[in-house]
Amino acid sequence: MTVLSVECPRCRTPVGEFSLNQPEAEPCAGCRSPLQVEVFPALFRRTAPPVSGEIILVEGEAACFYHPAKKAVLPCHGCGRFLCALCDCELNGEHFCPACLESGKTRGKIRNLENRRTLYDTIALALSILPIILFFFWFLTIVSAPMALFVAIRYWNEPRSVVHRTKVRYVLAMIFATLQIAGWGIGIYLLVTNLYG
Amino acid sequence: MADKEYRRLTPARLRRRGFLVAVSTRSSLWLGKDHLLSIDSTYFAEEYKRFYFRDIQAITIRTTRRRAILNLVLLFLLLLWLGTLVYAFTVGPAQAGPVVALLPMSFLIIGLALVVNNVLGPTCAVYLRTAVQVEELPSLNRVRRAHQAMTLLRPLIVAAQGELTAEEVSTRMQETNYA
Repeated sequence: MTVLSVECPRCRTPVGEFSLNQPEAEPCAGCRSPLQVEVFPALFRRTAPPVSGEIILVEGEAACFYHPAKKAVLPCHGCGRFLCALCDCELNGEHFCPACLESGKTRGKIRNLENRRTLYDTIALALSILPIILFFFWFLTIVSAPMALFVAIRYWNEPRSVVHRTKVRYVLAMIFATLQIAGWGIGIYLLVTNLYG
Repeated sequence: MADKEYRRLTPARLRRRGFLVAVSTRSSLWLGKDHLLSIDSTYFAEEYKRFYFRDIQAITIRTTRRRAILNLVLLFLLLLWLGTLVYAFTVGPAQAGPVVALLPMSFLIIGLALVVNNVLGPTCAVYLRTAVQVEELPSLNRVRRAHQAMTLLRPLIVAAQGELTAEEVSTRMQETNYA
């Protein structure tokens, strides 16, 4: 039998049941750290037993796309294929087949499965301003400015952070990069005209 | 204007996870419609962890001694500053040279850090438990802020799961463990 308990995060001593959901912090029995633990009904929720899918007994019954011998219980929310209880992956109230779940994660189709995003807008902005901020590396702008412009244009439509974020970084990066490229253009023009003019 | 999907719950704070990573990784919390979003930001990428309100089993606030330790460090720096001040007065401002010029600024920095450290209140570490993990939430590093966050989070979790009083918790614990 598994014993249900909430442990002290520091010393792993189980917190006494009378110390839970108290208005004030109480010392841990092991390390004496003041702990305030609030538990919710999910702690007492029993894990559903594993299901293997019902075998088809009557001919003509809808079968699972992946297991033709098993009875379909619902369609996949992503592709519409029939799924048995074994293939049904529930995510936030929606049901997916393993293939849709995998493609949803890799291609970012299911937003709640996305666990990483590259911030191209920050990269573009950093490329356009870092060599200027690091004063002694200003000459790098001859390379970084076109790179910033490329990143800003290439990834303009790529998803940004999942939390609200505007395209202002892209716009600033493009403005700074364009100014730097223009500056280099003028500088080179003046140099050439001074040399051969 | 369309509603924002996420509402900021805490500002970003450094995640303590080894020196180099700690320097670059900042963690923040955001409230979604049905989940709490933890974002770990390194400079050019973000990593997301979603904690659905219906899955949160427990939230633990452990009071730490970080404030006291930081106070000690700052007081030590203040003592050093005082020593430098005495030295500057002993040898005379002309002899002490650039040290004198740095004194007001360094006092301001140390003093401000000391005041802020105490105004923000006691420090803590907050842990969120689900059926499969115990995750530390580094952005909740002060008891007051943790309680403010709990005030916002509790109704959302209760709406998703229901409420438990202290008596109910001990009864259900006993039922589960001694059944």
